[in-house]
Amino acid sequence: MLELRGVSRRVGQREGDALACDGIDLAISTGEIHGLLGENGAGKSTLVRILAGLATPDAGMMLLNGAPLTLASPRAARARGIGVVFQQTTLFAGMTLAEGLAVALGSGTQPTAAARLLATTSARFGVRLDPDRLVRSMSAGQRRLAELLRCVMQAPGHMLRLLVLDEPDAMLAPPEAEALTDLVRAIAATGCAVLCCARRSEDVMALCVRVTVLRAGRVATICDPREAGAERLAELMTGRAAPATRRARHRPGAAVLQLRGLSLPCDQGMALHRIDLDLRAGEILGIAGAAGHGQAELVAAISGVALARRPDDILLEGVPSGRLGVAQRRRAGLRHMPADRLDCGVVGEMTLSENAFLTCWDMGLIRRFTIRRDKLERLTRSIMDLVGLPPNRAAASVAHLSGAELQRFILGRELGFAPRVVVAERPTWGLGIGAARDIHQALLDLAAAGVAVLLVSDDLDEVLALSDRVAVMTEGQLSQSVAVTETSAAQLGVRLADAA
Amino acid sequence: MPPDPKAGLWTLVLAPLATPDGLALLVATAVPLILCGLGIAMACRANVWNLGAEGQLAFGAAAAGLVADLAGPTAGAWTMPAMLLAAAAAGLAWAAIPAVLRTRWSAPEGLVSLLLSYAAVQLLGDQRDTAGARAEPQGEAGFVLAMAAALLAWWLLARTLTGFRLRVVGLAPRAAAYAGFSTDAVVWLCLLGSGGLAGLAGAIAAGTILAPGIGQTALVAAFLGRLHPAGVVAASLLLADLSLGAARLGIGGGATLAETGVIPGLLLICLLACNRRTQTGRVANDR
Repeated sequence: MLELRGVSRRVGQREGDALACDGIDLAISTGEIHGLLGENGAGKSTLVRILAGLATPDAGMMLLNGAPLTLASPRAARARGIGVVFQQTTLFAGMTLAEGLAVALGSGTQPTAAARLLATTSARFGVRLDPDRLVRSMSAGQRRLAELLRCVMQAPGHMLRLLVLDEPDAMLAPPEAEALTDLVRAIAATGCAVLCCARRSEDVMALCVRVTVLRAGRVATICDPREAGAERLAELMTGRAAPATRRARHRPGAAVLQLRGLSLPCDQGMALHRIDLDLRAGEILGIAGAAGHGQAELVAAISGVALARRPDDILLEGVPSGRLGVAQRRRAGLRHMPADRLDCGVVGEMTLSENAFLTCWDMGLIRRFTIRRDKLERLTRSIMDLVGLPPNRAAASVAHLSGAELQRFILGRELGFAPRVVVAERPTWGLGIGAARDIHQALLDLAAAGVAVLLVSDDLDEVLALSDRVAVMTEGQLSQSVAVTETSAAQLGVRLADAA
Repeated sequence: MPPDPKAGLWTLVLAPLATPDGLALLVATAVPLILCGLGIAMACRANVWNLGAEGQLAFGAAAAGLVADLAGPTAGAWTMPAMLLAAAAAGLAWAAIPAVLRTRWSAPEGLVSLLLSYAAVQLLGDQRDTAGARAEPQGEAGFVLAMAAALLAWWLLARTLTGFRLRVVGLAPRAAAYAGFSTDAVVWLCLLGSGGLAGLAGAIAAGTILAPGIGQTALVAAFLGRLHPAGVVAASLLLADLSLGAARLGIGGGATLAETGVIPGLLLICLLACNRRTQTGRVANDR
């Protein structure tokens, strides 16, 4: 079993830096799958890094099966039978699975030897993985399974003592998530303690009987997740009771955005194939699907970053707009919240004012070729007022904003000026529960005010919770949309899995 | 007896500033550097690399010489503006080639412009030397022109939509596409603008001491000036001072041109080495 007693770790190197982990106690018995819940910045990642041997605690002690545990390096962690699966794959995308595992096993292991070991290990747990397949061509779920087996293979005697999973279910379709759950259970049954970190309580419900909830680096509580319920767990994580999102029922109006057989070739990424779509005023249309199936290309085509081949491919309030540029479409009332906030939605090196100018430059802010800075200042203030950011930060660089503040800023900038159509692309990606709820409420309020909202997200729960209708994107094609009342996560999940 | 380092330093750094004539020469030497450097610096802010100022300058000088020839001895008030205009147009035209290749076929504009500058010098080699003899000394007027260009460049970069587009394209190309700014338009603007300025410098530079290698020195001036117009002016003056001092050192102290060229080189290396985050942003950030 694993035991942590008062483990603390500062954010930085200096005395007096804030504590990322502040006296954390944790006990996981052998064979137990223990959940670790917390928002971004609650200390989960720091704890994972400590257990992986990537960081050392400043205070406290750790015990594994009764023996003190000091981990100077990832190699030391592996030698003690600790395996860590990070959010990102550690296997190289351009190699075959056997080659990637051979690299991970190190000390001159040949790919053929790795393939043999993979065969025996996967037979032991009843998993099937093709050693000659390129890692790049494997689905997210298969990669996650491979990572789990990698941990077992690296452990001394192929017996893991502790398995740490960082957000194991993130972005997996339900059947794949199930296969992963089964494998985690099978590994736990070999006498291994499992720590399963997650941001969303849904991810630990199925696996764990006990979870430790972290808040601001401290243990908030230890409980049974099913007994506590998602609402209570969210409250414990955020430290405040958050009201559920409210939605006003309303009737959708006329079609505002229509795609008519939109096809677009693409050199890099996914080509779009004959996409039809009707988005009406006052409704939220959700586009679900695993990332990388053409969502980014679809959003680029709608926003005008990529031009369609014919003007009639895209109608904005009935006006053929397929060949119009980004700025023209924006003037027609189309606004876009990009998925990649820091790289695409703003310029990190610029101030908030300059970033407000980024998409508001054609709103009468220029006189005699010169930018009217007083007017821009007022516009920035009004954006920041709208979303509750302190106005004295207008001259600060956006790089100093947190992820949640940044998304609020973009929300205010894009939605503050009476839009007709809003494309929200993975709007709560990487945000904590509280911040995600604010964004969700803002989108629902928009729809209630008669704005047409296109929600593109790989978070199935988000799509189902917000949308009136749902369509699924697979390999560059968009399915017929169905009313959200006539479908379920399970049905959509099967569709997603068929596509993968 | 070993040479006196103090005297050497004096000759290299301060001697060019000591006399009114020396100052005039310094300014005349710095003007083409300022003009070329401004163009290069502005383009670099948009992550557009114009390494071919040398060739654009040669074309500018040749065009100015051609106009002077045509005007002949009947040179009137219009001759000088016509020469400058022709020079700018010639530099701009030569810079249009990398712009076409970049926007049409994604050819790297830095490489293309650099190679084209060798082509230009080969094509125009002889004429460039003679153009200088025909041009009049440009002293004060040239400096006023360079200062005006620097002021305009600053205003453009800091206060206008065009400058904003340029900076966004340089810092975050994806954000530029998201905002609706065309990268191609910015590439065109940067190459034509810096080419035109280099051509202009060609008309003015003809006959000054720096004549060969102005394009390369201007590149140093642009980076030494941290890609800021005011910085470019200061760096150009410094580099002009050092090159004039080096010439004196060569005449009086027996140092070769290669030896004295070490000083500006060291300056640039020191600056770049301690420069963890340059104005162009991404290049340095992706360590």
